[in-house]
Amino acid sequence: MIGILNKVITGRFYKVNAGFFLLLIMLFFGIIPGKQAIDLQYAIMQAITGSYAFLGVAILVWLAYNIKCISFFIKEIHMPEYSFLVNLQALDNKKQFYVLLECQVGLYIPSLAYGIFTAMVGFKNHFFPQAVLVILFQVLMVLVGTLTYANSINSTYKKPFINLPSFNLFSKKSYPFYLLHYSLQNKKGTFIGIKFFSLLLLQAMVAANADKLSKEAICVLIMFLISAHSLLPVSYVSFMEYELGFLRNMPIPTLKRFSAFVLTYALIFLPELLFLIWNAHQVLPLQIILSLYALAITQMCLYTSLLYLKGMKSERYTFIVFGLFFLSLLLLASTNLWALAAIEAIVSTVLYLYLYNQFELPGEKKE
Amino acid sequence: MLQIKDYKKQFANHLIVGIPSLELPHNIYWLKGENGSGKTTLIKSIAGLIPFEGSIKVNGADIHQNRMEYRRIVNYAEAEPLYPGFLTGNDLISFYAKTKHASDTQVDKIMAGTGIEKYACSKIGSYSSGMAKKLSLSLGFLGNPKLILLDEPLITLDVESVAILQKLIEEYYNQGVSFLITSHQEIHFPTLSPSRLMVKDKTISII
Repeated sequence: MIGILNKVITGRFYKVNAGFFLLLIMLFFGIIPGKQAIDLQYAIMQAITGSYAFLGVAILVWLAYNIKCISFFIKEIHMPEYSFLVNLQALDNKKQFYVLLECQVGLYIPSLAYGIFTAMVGFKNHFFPQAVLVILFQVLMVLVGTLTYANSINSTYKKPFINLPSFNLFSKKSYPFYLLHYSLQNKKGTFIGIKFFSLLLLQAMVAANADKLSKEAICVLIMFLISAHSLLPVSYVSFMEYELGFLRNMPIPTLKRFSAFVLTYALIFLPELLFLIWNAHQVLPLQIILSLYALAITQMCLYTSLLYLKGMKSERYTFIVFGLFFLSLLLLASTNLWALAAIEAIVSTVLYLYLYNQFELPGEKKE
Repeated sequence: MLQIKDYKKQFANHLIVGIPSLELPHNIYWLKGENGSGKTTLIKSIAGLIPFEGSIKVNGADIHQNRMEYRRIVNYAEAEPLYPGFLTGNDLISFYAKTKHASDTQVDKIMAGTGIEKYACSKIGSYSSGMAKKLSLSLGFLGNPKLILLDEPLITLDVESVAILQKLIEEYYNQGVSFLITSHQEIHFPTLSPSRLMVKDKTISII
C-alpha cells in the first residue's frame, strides 16, 4: 500500500524539490570542507538547544518545512490523475493512519532527522528541557501532517471549510487577459499566497531598513521575489497548452501569444511596483524602481520560454530558476539593470518564437 | 439498493441537480440526459467524489456516516480516466485490490477477461486512451461492490471490448451488483431489461 504512495507522493516530492535539497546540502556541507562542516552543524545544534531564541528560530524553520510537505501532499491528491487515491477512504481509520504516517515520515524525514540529532546533542550537553521540547515538536509535526492528510483524503464529499470567492475583473474575458482570469479564479489560493508573501517581505524590508535602503539589498530581494513567482509560469504554460490547447489551431500570431504572458506579468508585478514607488521613492530613484519592474517581467518571460524546451521537467526547471537567480545576482553587480532586462527580453522572445511550434505536450496519449 | 433524499448540488449558487426523493431497487439503470444536464455531477456525488447537500445511501450505508463501508460497496469508473503516467497498470491494480479487498483470483480473472494483462506491466504514460479506459473499467469491477457507476463506459472502446464489458455487467448483475450507467450509446443485453432514468430540468425521473 505504502509503495504506491511512495511513488506518487514521496518520490515526486524529492524529484520536484531536487534543486531545493541540493541547495540545502550545498549550504550545509558544500561551503565548509570536511570535518569543519560537521563541527558547524554540531555548533548549530548546541545553539538550538542552548538558547530558547535559537530554538524558536529552529521551530519556525521546521514548521515552514512541514507546511511545504503538507501543501505538496494536498496539491498532489487534488490533481485529476491522483483522484484514484480516494480509494484510501476504504481503509479503516487505523490502517489509513498508519499508511499516511509512513508517507508523512517519508516527506518530513530531513527535518525529523535533524531534530533527532539536535535533541541528542541537547541531551549530551544536559539541555534537557530544550531537547525534550525538540522531540515533542517533531512528534507534533509528524502527527499534524498525518492527520491533515487523513482529513484531506476523507473530505472529498464534505463541504469545504472556506470557499474563497472568485474575482471577476471584467465581464468580457478577452484573450490577453485569460491568464489573469485563470490566476484569480482557478489558482486564486496560490496566486494570493504568492502576492501576500511578496508584499509582506517587501514591507518587512522597508520597515527594517527605513532610512538606509540600498539598491543592492532591494535588487537581491526582488530577485528572490521573482524566483518565488516562478511557480506561476508553470501553471500558465500548463493552462495554455492543456486547457487552452485548442488555441493552437487559431490564427493567432506567435508574438501575440507571447504578449499575453508579457501583459500578465506586467499586471502581476504592478502591486510591487506601486509599493516601491510609494514606500521607497526617497531612497531609490524612480529609474531603478522601473528597471527592477522591467527585470521582473522579462525574467518571468524567460522562465515561460524555457518551459517550452523539449523534455522540460519540474526538477530541471527548479535548477534553472536557482541558476538564473544566482546568475542574475552576479550580473547585477556589474551590469546595468536596463541592459540585463533588455538581454532577457530579447532571449525570451527569440526562445519563445523558436520553441513554440516545436513544443509537444509531455506524455501525450498515443492512439 | 440506492436511496437519495433531499439531494442538491449547486455550483456558485446555481442549482445543477436537485432530487427530493428517489429509491432504486437492484437493477441496471441507464442515466440519460443532454450534455450538461448534470449526469456526471450526480454520478460523482453518488461516488462520493464531490460535496453535496442531502443524503445518499447504498444498501443502507451513507458515506457521511460509514465512509469505509460505502467506499467498499460503491465502485466508479470515470468517463475519461487520468492516471499518473509513471505508474504501471499493475501498480493501480494492486492498490485497488488492497483497498477494495479483491482476491487474487478475481484480479486474475478480470485482467484476463478484459485483456489488460498484456500491458499491465507497462507505464500508463504509454497507454492509448482505449487502453486506459479498459484499465479504468477493470478497476471498477474489483472487490465486492453492490453498485458500480460507469460514466460513459463505451467511449474509446473497440467492438470486442464492448462485448466483454456487456458480459461482465451481466455476470455481476446476476451476482447482485447494480449498475448506474451514463451513456449516449446503449449496450444491448439479451436477457436483461435495464431501467431508464432521465436527468432533465435539474432533476431526475424514471422513464
